[in-house]
Amino acid sequence: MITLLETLVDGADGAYASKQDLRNLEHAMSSWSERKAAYLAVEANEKSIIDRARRSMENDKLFHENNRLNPAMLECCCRDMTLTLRSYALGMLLQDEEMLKDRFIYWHKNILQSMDLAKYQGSKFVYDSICIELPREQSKLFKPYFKIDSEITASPELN
Amino acid sequence: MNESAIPIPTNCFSPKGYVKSHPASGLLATRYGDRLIAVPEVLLRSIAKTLRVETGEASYLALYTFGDNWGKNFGNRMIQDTIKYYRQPILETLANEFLVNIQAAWAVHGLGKPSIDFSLAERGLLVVTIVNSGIDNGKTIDDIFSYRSFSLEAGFLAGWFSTLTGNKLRACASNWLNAPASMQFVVGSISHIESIERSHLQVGMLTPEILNSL
Repeated sequence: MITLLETLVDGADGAYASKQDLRNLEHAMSSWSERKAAYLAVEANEKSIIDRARRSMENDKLFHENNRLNPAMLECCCRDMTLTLRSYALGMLLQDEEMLKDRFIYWHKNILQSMDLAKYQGSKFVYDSICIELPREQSKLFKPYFKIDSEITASPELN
Repeated sequence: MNESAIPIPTNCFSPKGYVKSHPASGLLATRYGDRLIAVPEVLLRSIAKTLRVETGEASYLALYTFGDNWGKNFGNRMIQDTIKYYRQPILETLANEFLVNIQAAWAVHGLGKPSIDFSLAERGLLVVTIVNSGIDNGKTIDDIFSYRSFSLEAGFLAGWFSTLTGNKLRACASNWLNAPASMQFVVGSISHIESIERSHLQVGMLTPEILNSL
């Protein structure tokens, strides 16, 4: 929505917003209540979402193979997954893929690459956990954003 | 807002978070209020060209010294901003995160994208590649490039790394074949870099073979 509003403002520079931009804005605003509810649900259930994601990670074969089980690394991953959850929740709330990419995904991807963690699946664990902890009508709102992540960070595709 | 949610820092140098514009006052600033000025590249070119015209060969030293001072101050600001944002000393930051933050800091200032090769670190050298350098002015001052054509950026890197390491370092351009899209510099002690300049760079660029033999 930030990107959408910026586009609308740029387009309306010295004139009026185009009909298409107004329709896009109206469409984005029409789902505000549902998105806000999903966002607040994530905030309220952050601990259970991350705990579930952590358990999934600890049980994951790839995680064991890479010998990443030391406590410090586990804590680092949990911190990372919490940050991922909060960033994607904001992206979903504002319905803004570009903001999510610019403020989080590219930076996050660079860090994972620098740490040789191309196969890191923290985002997938978080998304899977959301799908279990939240009602389906709320969890489905997150799917397009985690799909972006998988495309950009070359994680396994979401089903 | 969940008041028990402790904020987790992300990207200190995210453009929309770091650069703040205040049109009413005419100010551009960082998120911490330090002033920024949008410098068009023509300004850097004009400075370099004028120095070249007015001082001839001495322009290389002047540009290097200018870059060194600029790099030191840039490094200091970057360190201070990083400490404020992440609320911890640099030494407690993961090295990989710090290196990514370096890239983000350069990018948000339009300086290009640096990457650091540590493979020669045991020999006292860092190899730094800059993609899309915002400082390069080789074409402005020389028709035929030499390592001295890139004195401004070399000085900048020397100042910056000197601030980061706490040691007085020197830098020089080592490969400018693809300038300005991509340039390579070596950074090390003053005596080591000056030796490389005398023994190799006076003749031409450092090939990968020569670099590995240093």
